Amino acid sequence: MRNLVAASRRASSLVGKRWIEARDQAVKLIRQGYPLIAIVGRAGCGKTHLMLNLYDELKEYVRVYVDTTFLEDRLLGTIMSSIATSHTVTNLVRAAKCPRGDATCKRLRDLLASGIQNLADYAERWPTSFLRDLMHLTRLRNYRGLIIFLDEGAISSDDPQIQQFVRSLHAFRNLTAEIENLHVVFSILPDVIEYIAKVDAPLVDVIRTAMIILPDYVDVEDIQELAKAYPAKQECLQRLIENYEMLPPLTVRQAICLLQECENPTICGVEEAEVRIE
Amino acid sequence: MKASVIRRVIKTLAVLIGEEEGMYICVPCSTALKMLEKWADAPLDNMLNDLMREGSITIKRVGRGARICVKKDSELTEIRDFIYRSGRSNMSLEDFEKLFDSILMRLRSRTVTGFVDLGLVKDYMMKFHGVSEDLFVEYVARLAQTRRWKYAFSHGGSFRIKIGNVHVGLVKLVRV
Repeated sequence: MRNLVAASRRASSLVGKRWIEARDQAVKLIRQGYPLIAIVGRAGCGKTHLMLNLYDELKEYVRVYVDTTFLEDRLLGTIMSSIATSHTVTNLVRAAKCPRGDATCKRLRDLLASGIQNLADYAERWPTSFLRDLMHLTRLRNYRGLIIFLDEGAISSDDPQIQQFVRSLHAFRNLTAEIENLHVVFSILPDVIEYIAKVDAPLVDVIRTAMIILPDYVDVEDIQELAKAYPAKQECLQRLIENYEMLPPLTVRQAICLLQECENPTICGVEEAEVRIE
Repeated sequence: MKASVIRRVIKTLAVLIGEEEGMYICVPCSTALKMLEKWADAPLDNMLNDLMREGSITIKRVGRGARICVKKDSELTEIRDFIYRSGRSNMSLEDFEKLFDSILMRLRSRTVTGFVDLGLVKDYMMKFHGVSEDLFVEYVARLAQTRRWKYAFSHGGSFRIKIGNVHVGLVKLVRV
């Protein structure tokens, strides 16, 4: 089974009219200066793919993509440390031509020159200062701003690290108010945002202003487009379209899976309902 | 009187007049004690201490008062189902569907994403419409099968059921 998880190598193609509209809306929000942009949708609806597509699209910005599942925790310092060691940031620092007397630029250059771990430690211990320094370099290199893409901040509302993630998002909210042209785009599941609404209403008030809710299901037109963009068996496409009304609302991932495995829908998470209390 | 009887009386009280607080259902201490005095023939304090020790209840201070909080366990569910089953457990699937949809539409305005917590819907149906937990689970499952195009389910929520091979706890009305 292939292509069930979003990957940067496929990021440039985006199919589905409503997904393209969502992408265009996100681009517009970023260019209009909205600091926090939430990409909301249930599992498998294309959040990560959309983020990677945005990453590909917004070349006039310095873009850093952070898959937080690789991080030990979701604290702001840890996230910033990961950003500091990314290729984007190390390349930006390395290539910076520091004007005479520019202490900020020089500090970052020297830290990196003394070892990447030193730059990471600085970012972890003083995340706010590091972010300001990074923005300074962004302006120096004539980029339009900095976009941090945070993916999988909390994998569910039961994620033990969800509180840390909420605190970090709140910190980003406060930082974006102070640092111009800093944008944070993050993917988030419905249960996670409903959880945040309960524990941090002020944060959700800000998130609501730039929230993109991805479609909950694919329609027949989307399925036809997916069949062109992803590996698909002709008989599966035909069967999927004929039985569309008999199926539950399919996510993008389920549709891509069924286009390859229509004989065995169970592995795509589509089957006769069986109910058990957890 | 045995502590087990007092425990059942407290749980029945919780089902009838209690307020939900996460994993507990709480009743004001004064109300609970007034009721329990009629049943207890031994000092109440001793009985309550025994129940606290075995973990069946906990006392929570609220302002100047206190509340007796009962853990939502299988015994409490059994009592709740017994009480509510005598209500409208014969509700047809069609009536359930109409009620389910109207509650979803009402509750969705309180959400950020339109996905409603199945636990909230269940509690609402149990409390105000006498639907038992078993019936709720059975009918939601049947709706998921028979009205497949109508509802989108998602992970999370405070009450989860297994549909297909996934556990879901959030539901959204996507096509009416």
